[in-house]
Amino acid sequence: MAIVEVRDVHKHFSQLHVLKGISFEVDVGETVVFAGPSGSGKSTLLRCLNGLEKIQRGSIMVDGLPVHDHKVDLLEVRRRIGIVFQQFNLFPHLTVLSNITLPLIKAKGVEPERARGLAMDLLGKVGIAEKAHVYPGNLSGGQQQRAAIARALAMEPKVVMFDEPTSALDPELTGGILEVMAALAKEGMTMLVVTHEMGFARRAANRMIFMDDGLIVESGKPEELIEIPRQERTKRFMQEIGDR
Amino acid sequence: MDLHSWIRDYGSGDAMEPFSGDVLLITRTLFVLYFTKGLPVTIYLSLLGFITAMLLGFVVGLIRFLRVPIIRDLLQAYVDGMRGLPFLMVLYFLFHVLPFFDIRLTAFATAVLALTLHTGAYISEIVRGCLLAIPKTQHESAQSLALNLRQRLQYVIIPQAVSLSLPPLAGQSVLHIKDTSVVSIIALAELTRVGRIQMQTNGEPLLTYAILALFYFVLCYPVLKLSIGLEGRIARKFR
Repeated sequence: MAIVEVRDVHKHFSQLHVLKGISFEVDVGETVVFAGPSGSGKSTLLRCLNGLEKIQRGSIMVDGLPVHDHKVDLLEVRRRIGIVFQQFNLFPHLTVLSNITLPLIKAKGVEPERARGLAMDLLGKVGIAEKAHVYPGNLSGGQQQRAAIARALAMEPKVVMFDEPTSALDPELTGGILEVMAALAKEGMTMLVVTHEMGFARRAANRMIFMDDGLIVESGKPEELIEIPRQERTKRFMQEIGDR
Repeated sequence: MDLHSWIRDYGSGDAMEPFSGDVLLITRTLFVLYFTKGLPVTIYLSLLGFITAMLLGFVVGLIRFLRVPIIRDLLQAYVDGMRGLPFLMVLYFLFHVLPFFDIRLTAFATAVLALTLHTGAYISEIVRGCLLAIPKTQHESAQSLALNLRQRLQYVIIPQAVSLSLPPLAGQSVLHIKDTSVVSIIALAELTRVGRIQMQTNGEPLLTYAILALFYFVLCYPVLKLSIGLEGRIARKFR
């Protein structure tokens, strides 16, 4: 059953045509990796899905809510679809624990006591329970990203999006984050992941969508796209990132 | 060289002679009057004016930050006007023009109003600037967590902007304290006016204004230090 349905989505930034008619569906429990060169519109696409960017044409349904409709309650959409950013974007004036409990208490109306319990459970799950009372500025990038993942999960979204979650991390820290994400995928979380980590795509993703210049070039099983891409453009990209 | 002869030589020599014996007395009188008459008024003006200016500046800065249509244009005209006019002129304007419209305020009320309007404009720019300084990613992150506009401002944006704004606000408060001396011109007996009146009777401008300077300095310097200290603390926090 499709929980995300994207139909012919077009996005313009004034003169710049960023998304040129994107359509795809994501089923419940599926993990889909979006790959492609920078500037191909992957991040913009994710940002359209939770309404951070408005689209000019097409339709986006998330868990039955029409995100493209200007009358839709975006807060309700965002309670159902979480996002983890490349730069973590934790709130620097709050401790890790408060970063997680603030939206729980304010946006979901969870009791503070229960919110703290939930937050501590999740921090344990992402492996930084001992950092609960530390401010983000005193954490490593990897720890900050773990906290950001816990924060997104605490909202109990039906879908979680990851926008290049390891691109801002030192190479030795990416493995840990990818492990957390792979475990999440295994648990059956519906995930949309923009990443250049092909190892993660092979291991954890059900499907890969390759984008270039605002269009979907091809999609299929990750190992197929990585090893035997049908399109020339995909082949070139896989070689480029393989060479690195 | 002792103080007596220094004071004597500073003036026009022999003409200063009659006063030389009274220096200690004059000094004591000045201290007492500054402390009991001028200082309370200056502090009261500073505090009251700054608190009202903070309220005004916060509201104006926030509205301009949120770009509320129409109101923001009116407020921009106000801010530009205040920033483009001398404070003395604003004070004169309120003092002499308002009575024509049958609005009669006391000298104190006029002074507080002028200080509020003037400092409020500058504070609104500080507030707006600090709100704008919070990265777009913080707004997006808060939006993505389903916080509504009020919650985003209240729990995410404003708390961060407040700590950024403390050093410039402390700096502005020093300017504000010093601006209170201008209101001596509308016959309000704050520090500067007390000094001017005393100078006319005691004929000791150097002594009178030196002690006046000391009062202002003691008032302003700790705030200045506080501003610098806060700046360092915030620089470390947001490194």
